Amino acid sequence: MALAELGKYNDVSPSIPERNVIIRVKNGSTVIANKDAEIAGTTATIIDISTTSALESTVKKTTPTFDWEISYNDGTTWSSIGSSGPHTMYWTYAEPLSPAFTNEWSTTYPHLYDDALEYATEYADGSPDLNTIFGNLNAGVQSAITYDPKADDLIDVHPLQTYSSPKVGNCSDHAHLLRGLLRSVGIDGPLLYIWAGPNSTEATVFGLTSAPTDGVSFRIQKAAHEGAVQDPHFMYHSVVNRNNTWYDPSYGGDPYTSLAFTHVDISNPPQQKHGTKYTTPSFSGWYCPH
Amino acid sequence: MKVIMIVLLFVLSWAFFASVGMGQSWLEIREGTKKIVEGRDPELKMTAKLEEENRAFYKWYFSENDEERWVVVNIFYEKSRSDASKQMERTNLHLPAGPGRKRSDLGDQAFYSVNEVTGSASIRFRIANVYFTVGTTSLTEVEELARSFEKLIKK
Repeated sequence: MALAELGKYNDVSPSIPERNVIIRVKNGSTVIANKDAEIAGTTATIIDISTTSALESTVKKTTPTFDWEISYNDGTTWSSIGSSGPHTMYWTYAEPLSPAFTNEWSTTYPHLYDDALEYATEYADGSPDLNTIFGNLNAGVQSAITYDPKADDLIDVHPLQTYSSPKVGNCSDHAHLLRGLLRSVGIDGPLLYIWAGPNSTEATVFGLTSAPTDGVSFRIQKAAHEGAVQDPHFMYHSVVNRNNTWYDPSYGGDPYTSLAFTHVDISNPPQQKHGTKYTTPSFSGWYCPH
Repeated sequence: MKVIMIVLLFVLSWAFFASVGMGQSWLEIREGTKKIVEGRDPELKMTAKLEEENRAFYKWYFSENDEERWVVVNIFYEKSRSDASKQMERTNLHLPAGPGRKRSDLGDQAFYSVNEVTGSASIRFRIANVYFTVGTTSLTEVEELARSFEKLIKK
């Protein structure tokens, strides 16, 4: 992990003749950067002070204060020239991925957002382990956002909008938010859509009531959770997929590797699992007896 | 020739105005919507706002002790009825629990759904070239809001 390049402006008093100095930056007792410089007069601007020191090796947020020192005798003795900070620093697992966020409507958001880093690093809680980070972020989103499979409010808006009250979202809102937070800290996790249908572009829809539009494509066995009834019916469900392990921020809990359907249309269409969703829902004419 | 041109212009103008909401601007629709929500429940505070060329998104929220109230509104101001209808169909395709039930007492096309656990409800309806989605804490409230929004649009 690399510290971003630092710049430092120093006032030097009294005025001094041109001379070579060394500037160093300390984080606590650790020297994190050195810079040879030439200064003169009462003011010196020294730029491009950078470090490649790994200040942290875990995914977290820190707010260090840096102590700045100067040496006029080639590093034999050092004098304080003040401190700076606190500097807000977000430590990511790897370089953030762009675009960090995409929504259900495939609109992409290329920027890296402070809010996303704030949430992701808080949830990661200083873990260096990829599986733990995945699990922690999954639990963080589940805890922060109330699951309502019927929520239809976030239409083509930024997934971070889920955090504004009321903090409610459907499975797609949850999954897109989790994926964006993961990508903000440099971890990819593609979305996975699950439904019942004959192929990757069609969903077989059966009716729940006598109104044919009130259709779904499968039912699963699950305990009631937040805004979801026990054993709910869905058109589709979406999760975040990591090497065929499915993280479900709507329900939280341990990741799983499959989702058993308890009911599908009477024509018994197979389960579909794809990174993109069906484009054609076809109503079969059959109604669920439940 | 001149007479034909004038007649053609008249027919085209009529066709245009017949296909879109007349009598109010996009700004008036947005401001009218906000006024309805905030006038009905002055304790609600706006928590999200997105206003663009042809769509708006708002969230309002109030919480005190165990009481929680909220309203979420999307408005799509499309160029034609057909575009608004397409936007509505596009939304239907993305809903994990399906589009909900159709209703015929609101606008030109409408769907609604009620969460059996929380009681919260949403209505999505199109009137002329304007497509609204409204979500709030109960079916009664969402119906009242949707009817007020419907009155904003002069066809």
